[in-house]
Amino acid sequence: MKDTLAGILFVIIGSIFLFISKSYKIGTTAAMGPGYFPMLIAILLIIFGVVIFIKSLYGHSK
Amino acid sequence: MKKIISFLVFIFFSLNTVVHANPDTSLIVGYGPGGTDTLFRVFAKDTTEHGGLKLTVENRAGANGVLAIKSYLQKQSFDNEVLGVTGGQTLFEAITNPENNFIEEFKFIGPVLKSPLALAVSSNGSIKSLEDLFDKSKPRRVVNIAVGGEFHRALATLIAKHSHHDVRAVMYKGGADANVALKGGHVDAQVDVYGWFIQQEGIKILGVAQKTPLESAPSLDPYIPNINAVNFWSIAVSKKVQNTQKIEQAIRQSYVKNNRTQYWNKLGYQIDDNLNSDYVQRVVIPEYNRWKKILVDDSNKKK
Amino acid sequence: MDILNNIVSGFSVAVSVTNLLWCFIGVTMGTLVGVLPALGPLAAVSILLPIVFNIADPVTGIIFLAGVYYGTQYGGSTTAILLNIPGEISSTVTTIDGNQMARKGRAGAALSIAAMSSFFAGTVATIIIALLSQPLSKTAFFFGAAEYGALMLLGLFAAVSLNHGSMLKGIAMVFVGILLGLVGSDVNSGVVRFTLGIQELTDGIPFAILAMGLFGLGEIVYLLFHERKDNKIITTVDNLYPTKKEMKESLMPTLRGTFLGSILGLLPGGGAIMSSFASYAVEKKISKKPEEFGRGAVAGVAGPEAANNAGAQTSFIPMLSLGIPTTPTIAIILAVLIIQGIQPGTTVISKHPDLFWGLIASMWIGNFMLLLLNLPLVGLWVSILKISWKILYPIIILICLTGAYYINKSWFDVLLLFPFALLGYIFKRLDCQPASLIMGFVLGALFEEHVRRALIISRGDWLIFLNKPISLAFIVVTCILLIIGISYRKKNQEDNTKILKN
Repeated sequence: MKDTLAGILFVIIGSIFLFISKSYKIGTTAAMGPGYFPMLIAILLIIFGVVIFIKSLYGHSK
Repeated sequence: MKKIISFLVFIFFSLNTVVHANPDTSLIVGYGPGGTDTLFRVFAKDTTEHGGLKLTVENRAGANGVLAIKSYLQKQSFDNEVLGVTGGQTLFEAITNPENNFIEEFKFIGPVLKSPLALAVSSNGSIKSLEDLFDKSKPRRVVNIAVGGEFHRALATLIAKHSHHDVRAVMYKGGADANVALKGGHVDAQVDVYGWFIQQEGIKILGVAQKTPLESAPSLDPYIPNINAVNFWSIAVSKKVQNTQKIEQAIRQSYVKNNRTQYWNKLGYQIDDNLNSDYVQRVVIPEYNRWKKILVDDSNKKK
Repeated sequence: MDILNNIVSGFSVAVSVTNLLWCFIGVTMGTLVGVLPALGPLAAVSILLPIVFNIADPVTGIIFLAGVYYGTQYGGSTTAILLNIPGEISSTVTTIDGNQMARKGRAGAALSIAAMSSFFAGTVATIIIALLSQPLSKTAFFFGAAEYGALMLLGLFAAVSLNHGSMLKGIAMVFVGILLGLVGSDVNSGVVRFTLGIQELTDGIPFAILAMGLFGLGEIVYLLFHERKDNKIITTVDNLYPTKKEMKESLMPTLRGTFLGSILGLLPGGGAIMSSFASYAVEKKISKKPEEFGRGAVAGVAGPEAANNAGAQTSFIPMLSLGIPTTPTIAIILAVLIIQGIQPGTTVISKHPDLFWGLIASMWIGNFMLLLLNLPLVGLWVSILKISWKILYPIIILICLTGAYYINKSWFDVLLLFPFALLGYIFKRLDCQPASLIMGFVLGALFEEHVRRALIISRGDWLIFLNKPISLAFIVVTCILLIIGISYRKKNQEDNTKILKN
């Protein structure tokens, strides 16, 4: 249960940051804009949040 | 148990008194300690020792100096507080973020310290002379210039415009950081003020960004026509402040009394003390317009 | 031998009555301020700065400031162990096992071990400074953007290992920390990010607010909703000083921590910060009983404490010999030197030998004074834990609120405590450790700054991280740690299921 909620929390936090970072210039690798890195991390956070969420459900049904 | 509480209360109050133990004038500086703030500290020390007015530096770092300026200007009364301003804050912050244009809200009350920007390389770097940078017959190469602030970046942008090489400004958090990168060979050159560079070892100043050359530093004018990038530091108060006589007296006394002009010159700074309260109108605003034209309007033209 | 002469003359400078006195005042005030959460070395040095200008002799002034600086390291561990609130960044790691030790009744042992390993590290680091400052000072130059980027990456992985629960949650917490660390203005572009238009956030979320909110207040909120069975944080206090076993267990971690801290302290920006949790990560990986970490492992206190003290001392080297400040606090001390007319640089040792060697000797004396100060005080500190939480927690809240205000004289900072307190509560309920978040916070912005810079310099070529030897070395170490971490976790899972089944 704890992990399920934690997963959801991470997805929420990640989504908020992802949404806001889209409003900044992303730029290219050679000239990373202010939005590049936060977007990257936010996406990773969302992915991990989803994984944690799924893992917690799977653990339960065991 | 009671002992502990009284102990903590004692600490709390003694900290309180120490923090609030400065009834005299505060010189608000918009930077953290080290770097730009050092200049203001020397200034404050001078004024305290020789000018008879106790000036204490209060750091209010934030947003490249803007936070300090804003918090100062928003006050109701301006007793006991003056502001330390720099060219970088007033000019370049205003250009990059027009909502942070405070130029018209000050008047300068202290002498203005000036030092031109300069371009320096490491003594054992791959760039040895201005020719290496600007001679069009040299093969095109990558050039990374370390800069520690927006004003420095502006000069680097100008250099990029006039050089055929692939020149980019690499931003650092301050001159010290940028200098480490230079000495480590991670960048090819650095821009900072002349006065700062002559205190450093192991570097060679290629040129200064003004028409008149300085000791061991030729002018960049042959390569960048009409170049004039001079940073300044001064004490300012809000335009609303009526009586600034006392402070102006004290500051003037501090550097006249022991010939500070020579001291500053040796360090690579000039003092412009031809101050009427129209210094802002006379000098700063035209500078602002000039740079705005160079940076903003020109880049718009390119589009 | 030249160095011996210098050390002797250094001691003769340091042992003057004035210098001893100011050294003592410095370390005492430093410890006191360090004990208070929110006020770390930067605040301490800034607050006490005016005093320095009234001291005529620059050598005395520097001895005083240096004392304040490493004194706060000692004080910071005290709050970390007792109250689970990091006094400043480098004490964050001490909260993990230090506080756990306290809850098991080993508070006295934890405090003593922290003091002793700090003393050992301080002493050794002083010797290192004395012998190797010239060659070591050049270290800072080898680190460019790519090298720092790779180092930060390594640090972020070390941060994950601060988590003693699920590795996935640990990584996620680091990401949350990084994102929070990105709030504020961006060095490279000047754009202000994630501040939602709030002016006060333009320079980011102050570390102290995040720490006090997440750790201190979050815990208190938790306790408000979940009544404790007993009235105190701990009910029993076993003997105040460490057992022989505990002393033995802290020996090697102290040595390793000292080594790590001494090296990392030389690096500008992030070096000294990283030393404490790099040490934690190393100890956890090397330990024969890694499951103890997070539950009161002695090594988890001894190593990091040694590391951060060693780092604090060696961070003087680049400042004195090259004029490069490695942390903001050192930058203040540098500014003070410059104002006093002393230009740090390669000539400072020859031009002002009394300053350099006097400072080094006084560092040793200062560390010794701190040991003498702190060990007897252990009893006093521990008795704080015996206070009924009904009284103690309001005091903590008061101290946090006051500290928050004093950082920038801003009410906004105080207000900001509350959302983080709430967040801290939520994380605690969900079994997520704030320590990893904090490390992500501290390192995240630095990581981005260096990676971006490296890519500007290389014009977009990612291979720069593999082309530069130091950077490559860090990346290789990161991969090795990652592999060890995964295989250890697999093994642990098997062991755990076996234990559960039994």
